[in-house]
Amino acid sequence: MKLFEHSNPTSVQEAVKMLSVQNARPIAGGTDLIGVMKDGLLPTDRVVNLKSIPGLDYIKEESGEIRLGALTRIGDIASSSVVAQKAPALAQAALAVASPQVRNMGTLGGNLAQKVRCWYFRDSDRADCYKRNGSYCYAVFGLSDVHAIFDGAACFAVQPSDSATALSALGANIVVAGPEGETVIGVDDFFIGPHVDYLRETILSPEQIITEVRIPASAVGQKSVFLKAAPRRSIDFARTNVAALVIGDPVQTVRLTLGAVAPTPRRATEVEAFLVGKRLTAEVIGQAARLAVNGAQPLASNGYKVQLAQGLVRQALTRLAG
Amino acid sequence: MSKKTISRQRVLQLLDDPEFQLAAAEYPDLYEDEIDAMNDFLRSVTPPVPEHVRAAAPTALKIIGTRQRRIEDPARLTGQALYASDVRLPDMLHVAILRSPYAHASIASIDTAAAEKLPGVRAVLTYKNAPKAVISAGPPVKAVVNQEVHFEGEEVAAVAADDMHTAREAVNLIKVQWKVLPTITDLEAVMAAGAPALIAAGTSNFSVGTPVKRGDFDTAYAASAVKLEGAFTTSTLQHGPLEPHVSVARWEGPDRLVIWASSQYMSSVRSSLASFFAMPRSHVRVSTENVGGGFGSKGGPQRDTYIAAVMAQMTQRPVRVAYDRPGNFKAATHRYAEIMRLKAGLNKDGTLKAYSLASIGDGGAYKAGTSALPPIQRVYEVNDASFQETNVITNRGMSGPMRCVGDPQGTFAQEIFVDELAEKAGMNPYDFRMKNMASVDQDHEDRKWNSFGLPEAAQKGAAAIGWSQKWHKPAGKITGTKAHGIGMALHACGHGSMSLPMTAFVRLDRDGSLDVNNSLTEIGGGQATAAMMIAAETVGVKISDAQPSWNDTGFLPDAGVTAGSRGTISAGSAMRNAALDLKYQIMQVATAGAKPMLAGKPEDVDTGDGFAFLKADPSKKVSLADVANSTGNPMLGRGTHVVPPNTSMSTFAAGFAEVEVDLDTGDVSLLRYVAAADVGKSINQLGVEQQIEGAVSMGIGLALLEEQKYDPQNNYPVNWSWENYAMPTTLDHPKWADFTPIIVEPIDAIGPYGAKGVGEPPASPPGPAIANAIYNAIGVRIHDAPLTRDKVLAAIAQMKR
Amino acid sequence: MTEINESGTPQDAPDLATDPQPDEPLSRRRLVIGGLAAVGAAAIAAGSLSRAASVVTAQEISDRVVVADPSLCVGCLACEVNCSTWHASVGRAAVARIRILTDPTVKLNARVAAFLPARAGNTPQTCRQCPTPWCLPNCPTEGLQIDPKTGNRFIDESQCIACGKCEVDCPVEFNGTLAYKAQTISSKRVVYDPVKNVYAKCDLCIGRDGGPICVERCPVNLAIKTGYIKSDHLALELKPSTEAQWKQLA
Repeated sequence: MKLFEHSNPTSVQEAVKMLSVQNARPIAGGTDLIGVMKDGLLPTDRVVNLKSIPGLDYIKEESGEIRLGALTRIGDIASSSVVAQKAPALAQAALAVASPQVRNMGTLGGNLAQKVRCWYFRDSDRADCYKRNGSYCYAVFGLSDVHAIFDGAACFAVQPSDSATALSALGANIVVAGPEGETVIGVDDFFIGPHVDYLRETILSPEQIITEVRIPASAVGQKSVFLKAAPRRSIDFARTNVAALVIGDPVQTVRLTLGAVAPTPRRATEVEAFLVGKRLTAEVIGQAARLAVNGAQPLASNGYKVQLAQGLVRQALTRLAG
Repeated sequence: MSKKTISRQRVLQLLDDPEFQLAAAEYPDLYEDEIDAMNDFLRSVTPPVPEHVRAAAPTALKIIGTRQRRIEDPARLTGQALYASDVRLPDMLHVAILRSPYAHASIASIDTAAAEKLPGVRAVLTYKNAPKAVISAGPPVKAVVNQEVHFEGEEVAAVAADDMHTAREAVNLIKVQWKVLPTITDLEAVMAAGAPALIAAGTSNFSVGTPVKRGDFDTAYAASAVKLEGAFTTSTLQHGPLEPHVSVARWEGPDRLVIWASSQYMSSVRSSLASFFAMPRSHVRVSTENVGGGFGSKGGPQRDTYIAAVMAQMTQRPVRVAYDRPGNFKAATHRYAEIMRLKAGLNKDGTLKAYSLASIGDGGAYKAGTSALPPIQRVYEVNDASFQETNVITNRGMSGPMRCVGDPQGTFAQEIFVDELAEKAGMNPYDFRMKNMASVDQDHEDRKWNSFGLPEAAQKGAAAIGWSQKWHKPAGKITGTKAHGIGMALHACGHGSMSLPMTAFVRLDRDGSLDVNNSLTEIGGGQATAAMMIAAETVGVKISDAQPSWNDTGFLPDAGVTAGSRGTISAGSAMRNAALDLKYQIMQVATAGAKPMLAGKPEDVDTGDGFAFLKADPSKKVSLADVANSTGNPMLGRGTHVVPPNTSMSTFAAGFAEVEVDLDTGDVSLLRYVAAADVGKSINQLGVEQQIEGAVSMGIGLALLEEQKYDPQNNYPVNWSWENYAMPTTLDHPKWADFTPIIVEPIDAIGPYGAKGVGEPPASPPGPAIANAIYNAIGVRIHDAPLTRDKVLAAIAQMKR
Repeated sequence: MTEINESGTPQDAPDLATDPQPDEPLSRRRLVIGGLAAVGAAAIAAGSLSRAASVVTAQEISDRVVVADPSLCVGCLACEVNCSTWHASVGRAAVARIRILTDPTVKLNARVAAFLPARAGNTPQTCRQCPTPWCLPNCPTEGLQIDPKTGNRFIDESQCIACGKCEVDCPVEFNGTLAYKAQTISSKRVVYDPVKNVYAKCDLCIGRDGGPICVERCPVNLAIKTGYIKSDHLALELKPSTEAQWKQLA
């Protein structure tokens, strides 16, 4: 690891200021950034430690919303009774993240703003990868087990966050602080694909940070579910995950999001439109599952994700039907 | 089969060739003739243990067969154990390594000037200034660092600097211009006519092994009532030791080298380095206190050791080389992938009549030996058979032995294939196996096995899992989206029998305590504890008065490599003989002199619990401390063991798996696993159970998760990290209560107290047992390990539902 | 004619930002297309474009044009992404001037199909560098130009007033379903960038060392060059914009 400067801001404004130099990166739990730095994947000259900012670690209910500070650790979300009762998909997603050790370090903000896990990107020898400002995607004619079946464009890395999928289904909003002050943005608009900018996975500019995540009142207390499939029952990033929120029977409101199948969490809007007004019978669920993978374009070795996504959607909706 | 003639000179060479010793431990079948010749020679020069000494062996066992915690555990569990990784010496330099970014390439030019100028850099090693001596003559030649590299991640240059940061920075300053050479990503394309030469023009990319033939396969196959063919593959697997390759080297003057190495074979590090630097072996001292896992990858000195020794010589300072995790994934050896094609013919009644295997093993970049044959040759009785292995070169890292070398591959193919044969014959897979099981060594004049516990292992395992109640027709038990399945596999192992060298010392101290010494590296398998138990039992001291040492070639005799499941049985045999030697000395000293401590002949004396006593009247006794104090000489027992001629030794194992497959997601839950292992006499019950668990865990990895993947275009390893090379975690195993190790103990006539090896045999059945269980659940066969989600989902898509 | 080196790169492609312009590019003021409806490729060859500038000789048609073989396209969108990224990086409109549309009738090259069976049915489309530069005559400014050395028809954004006349006059369309998120598209191949408020079209990456970035970075092209995909031509190729070629594109 190269030498770098480490700074401890005590306020969000100070952090934003410290981030305004080149190759400055925010750190919270460090479970992602340290690996990126050790492998020399992205040049890093300054690390801005967000943990020194007080008051960003909380789970509270306010104006009917659940608000989570960006520094809330994943493990605390997984064990929060408020989240478990009122936003079950997020609690289940938090519990599905990595291992207990990582959950006890990693934060919600970091989980949303982490870099992709593409195995070519993470190989320090593959410096010409798009995500490293290069010009090639090894996944197209390489091994694509962990890559996108939807919306790949030049780069085929997927958004690895489990919590992002759950928050998308919950219709959450993200509070972002930057030099121009605070903005609130929906999760679905927070993530961007390579067609927009292959160097970033989110709208965050280098000097912007996440300060809070808000689960809207409309989703609080509603039935929701998160499911994840990964090689192992612990530790691994999702090969596919799914989260769904269903209100009403017949369905009045439904939000369904697939994760790890596309460069961003992928709302299944076609499925949502199909489900509104219907009862979640086995047949309807089967049709919805098929519709969820409509238009998938797998690469050489991620075709299994099409079947897997379908299976997970079926199981998720079946649970919400019960 | 005709035997090769091997000259005495060659035998002497082999005895001193560490690479051969390792290979012989791991591939006893491949080197059978050489091993026989070595044994013949050693028998001719080794005086047998005299009958009166042999007769001193204890009869009632007090220690053997009990449950003992491993001797090294307290230090390891409290973080106090010293590993090679922990060694830090004054003025020590740290080394960073530049690795090849290409699977096959040659250095056109290399510029190290900028790296050398960086403050804190003490030496830069490239092929240009590397010693002329090579690690192996090849082809391909393997020097300390090469000009031509044969796999991605191969060592190209090394920088020794005052600290690791400087060394890493300097490595980034080295500029290399590469000439990229052809590579072939398909194992079979390597053998195609016109394929580019991967080693050198004129050197073949592959070699065809000597076939093992019985009778006439073709005729018998043609005449068979039921015929079946099948092709199977297994993947490249990583050993994944928690401690990567690490060596610390220090020159103490121009002709004395001390090395701390993470190695399974201290003595070979010593002899290899002595030979590399053309020094007497006595001038090289190797210390290996603890090893953070080896599983076959640390058999002999790897490049880390050579680089450390060479750079320590260049700089005249101690040098530490520790591979980082990507480096270890890429440049350590790995289990070779196999493609196996099986053919078999059955009689109408389900009797196996004809059987053949043609297999292709990925020998890797430096052409390691490969074989998948032993289990195929041993488990089933068949008179007309043909088995052959072809070994190919690839640019996919270095192949090498890994736990149960070759057998998990062969057993994976065979035991799925046998399941299919049973179905074709209309028989229950268990009944089919029991009907066709072989009970003798068919390739050696149908000799009886020294000990044969396979039927008992199969019976006990089947009973434990409830085979007769739980087995059902394929896809016969589906509830909702969950499909239940059960499967089994048998295994006869090429490992767990004896191999050379076997020497040991046992020393009785003047306080009556026992030092148990040999250089068999304790790598976590419990060999040191077992050696201690054998020595304590044999000499007759309390186990609390005995302690083993295994950590320094400076004073320990060569007991060979900790590999091939040979540690307890081979080194243990020598240990038993050393202990017998000491015991007889005790019997002599106790009864010697004008005023003997015990009145009688040596043969009238026995020992136990730290005393020597008269057999006829145990109340007439003398403490072993008093015996030791009555002689000025150190009481040192020496022991050597040689395998008796014309014996056939094999270990056996059976595995039973129960799974549940989720038809929506392809999730495979391993509900229950029963591992029955024929271990001969179990020395340390606890140690044996631990070894069975560890072996099964690796087998689960092979079955469901583990696969080193290579980019299909460039042959780069892709998943070279813990993240994407998925080893099973605790949650991927059955719950503790649902894992059942069963120890089957047919006393082996030549093993120490009847023991055989156990570290490897239980690693082979899980692959096919789990694959067969998945078939039983969903009714679609998968022939390619690992049975990852993508393959299971593809199979589910083929189900008739 | 510009010499083309082995890699298909024009050796003397001008850099708009820095190179002095030896010959003033052709623009509407010096180029009037007469009898548009009657003018065809044959007429072009006959030199029927009436023009003031005698400096223009072979530049009546573009030296080169980006040509795609749909049977080699896997729809990875590297061309689109790199196109917009490169143009943005040199300060031009951040829109893709090449688009991949879906076409279920396209059959993949056998080797590509064996590796990526699910990625057939794509057809990359871009500006044809028409022999008759239909987009150019009605441009009220110097926005649309022809490079005097190469004949490359390109837009100088500094001159573009976004009147849209070039789009109206462009005779070819992106029409159908995009490979990108299956979005429907119906537009001319001169496209509008609302962010910069200019029009954009394929300019063969004018000024870029290495030529059009889509050709350089197409992963299928790279796989063909390494021999991984067997093909005697590339998926995206910079070809001489001859009459025969143009006919094929049309």
